[in-house]
Amino acid sequence: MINFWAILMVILLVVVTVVISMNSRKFNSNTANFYLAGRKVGFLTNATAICGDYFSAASFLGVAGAVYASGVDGMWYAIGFGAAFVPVVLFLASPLRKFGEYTIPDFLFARFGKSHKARVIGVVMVQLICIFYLAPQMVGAGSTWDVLVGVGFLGMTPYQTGVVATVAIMMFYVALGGMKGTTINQMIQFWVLFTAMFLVFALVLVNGVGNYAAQNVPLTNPSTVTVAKLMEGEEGNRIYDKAKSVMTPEGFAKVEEAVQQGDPNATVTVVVPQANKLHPERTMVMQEPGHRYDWLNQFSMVLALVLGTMGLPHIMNRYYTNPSGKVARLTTLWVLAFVALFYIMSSVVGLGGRRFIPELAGADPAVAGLTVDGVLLKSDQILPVMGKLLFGEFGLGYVAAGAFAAMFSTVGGLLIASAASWGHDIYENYINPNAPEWKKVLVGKIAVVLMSLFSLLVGLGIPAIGLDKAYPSLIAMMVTWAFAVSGGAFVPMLLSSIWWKKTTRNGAIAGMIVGGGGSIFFIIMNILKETGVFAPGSIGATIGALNFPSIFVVPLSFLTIYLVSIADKNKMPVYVNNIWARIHGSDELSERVRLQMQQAEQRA
Amino acid sequence: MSDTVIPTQRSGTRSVEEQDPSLTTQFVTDEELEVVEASFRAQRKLSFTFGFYFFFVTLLIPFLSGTAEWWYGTPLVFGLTLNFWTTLLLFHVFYWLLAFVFVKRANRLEEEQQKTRK
Repeated sequence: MINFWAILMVILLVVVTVVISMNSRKFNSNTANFYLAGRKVGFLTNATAICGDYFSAASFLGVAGAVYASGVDGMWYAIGFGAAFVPVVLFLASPLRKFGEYTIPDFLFARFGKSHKARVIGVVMVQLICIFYLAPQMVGAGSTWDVLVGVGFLGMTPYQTGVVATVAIMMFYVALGGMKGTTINQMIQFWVLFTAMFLVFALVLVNGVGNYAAQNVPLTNPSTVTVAKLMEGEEGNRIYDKAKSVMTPEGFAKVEEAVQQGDPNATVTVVVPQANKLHPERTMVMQEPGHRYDWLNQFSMVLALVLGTMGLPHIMNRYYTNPSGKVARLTTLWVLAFVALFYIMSSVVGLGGRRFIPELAGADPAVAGLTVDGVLLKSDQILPVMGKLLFGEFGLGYVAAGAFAAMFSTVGGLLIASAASWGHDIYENYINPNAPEWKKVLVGKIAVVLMSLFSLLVGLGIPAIGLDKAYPSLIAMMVTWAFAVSGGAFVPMLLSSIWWKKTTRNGAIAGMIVGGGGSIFFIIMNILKETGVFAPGSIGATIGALNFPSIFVVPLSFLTIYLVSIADKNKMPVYVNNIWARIHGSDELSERVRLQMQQAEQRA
Repeated sequence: MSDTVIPTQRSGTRSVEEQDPSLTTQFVTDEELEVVEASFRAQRKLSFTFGFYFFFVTLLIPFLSGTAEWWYGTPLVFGLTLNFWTTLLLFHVFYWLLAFVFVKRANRLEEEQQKTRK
């Protein structure tokens, strides 16, 4: 699917990004500017930058794909990702900004009486979340390059070229541009991806979404099986019979041909009706739930997404760049408007795919090669395919630019968050507290470079260990893991620290360890199960069956914080009143107390 | 306050001289603290009330998806179910309106408290 427009637009995006970063480098004279853009980012700029940060490859390509493949259960992703900012505005946006620190570990340090242990555990959790979130972005970069550009350079495969190119560009522009350059870039990248989505959405609406959902026909998806598997079972109940009942005669003729050749190990791709996991007695149709999740996973998936956003360090760090608590709330309201619109558009594009791909794919040999009997083999390709079918090569090019913009902006935010955690939380506080400003900024930049190189290794390593084969929707799955870790590690701790004065340092630390560690434990068990390490039916496989651990881990973390805090015999120290004034006082009082605490510390 | 002995979480009981004054000095007056506490209580009530509405509706959707056929299996408008319309459109409208009303009220609350202080 290589095309001139895709390459031109991606190059244009890269050039704009680099120019902005070079212009912003003069602004990065001190750490407050490098990490927080001087705390002077207005609400609309910040809202678009947060959206740029938030809309990753999983959102841009994955949500429309999930709706296309699963209907209502796919729309759960849109609901979870979209509504996730409501708890942010209700519980965190204003208090975090008023508190006025740099990072979540900084918050932990100051909130719990300069606790080094709390800060270091916070840094570890931030880095783990960044790695969990960077990994799917790298996979997305490689896969998107593979599909949309399709060319490898310097002896590398297209996948490897995509990963290396993305990391190189990100490393350069984040290290050079700092938060100011990254913010402006994220704003532009947001508009690129948002307008790309809008273009496809508008074309779907103008041409008509179609009535696939309302017809209540069985939901079908492709599946690749061996001929032996195809013919397994009683006549009438075989995959062969199910495929025959839903495929067109022309499409099924190729299946018949493979069967008649008689090789049981030959593979064949068929389109089959899907099972309903929620109501097994009902036919699975597009407009009913149950394609992806049973009842427990319906709850746990939406909870994982809704809660996880509150703990994402690259999103929460952005709240410190607002000028005040009120602006932080207003920013979130705009973010909510953008995300709601974006995910509605994604869902409509996914639904439209069921009409346009069977109708138009046959006329385009390149697209026809990506389908089986009018159904896309990889649902994540829905957006570029729809762009091409409805707007030609330009549409595909614009969507390609949108996909790379989504990856650049998210990776940029993650690198800044990770660098802030290493450079600010560790270097400035423990290694060289008296370093001059230029040296602190330099360390931040080195942290960006090192983290970029690490994510390069992760991106190249994932296919090498076969993780991409273990999970059919790896990008979406890995993003959900990042949400689960952030939800477990930070959300109960942040909510308790802000809204329950009696939360103690030990309670917060225990909560983070139980929440973050518990989430990682369940994720590792799930990986071991899916890669076949655990035998089916074993205890390991049973524990590993839980895709979204938040439903258990988050309440457990809250309970731990509560129990450890009440078991902690220490009385509430004096500084908690200062902290309380900084979190819940007016903007002026918060700032005054923060400065007074700072001055007292300097005098000491 | 500066010459009292203050227990802290980190060090147990130590004399003030040994401690960091940023941790052992209260920088807010008792009156200011009262205002902060009042503001905190009002904000907490507002945030948690809206939080209850939000999580109730959010979790109601999967609950109805599992239990109520009129919700997930009965076409209502243009041949589509309430479940479908909610996940496609209505829920997005709901959470934005909820956040809008909350932000208005939270900002008004903050302004009122600032006026009272003056």
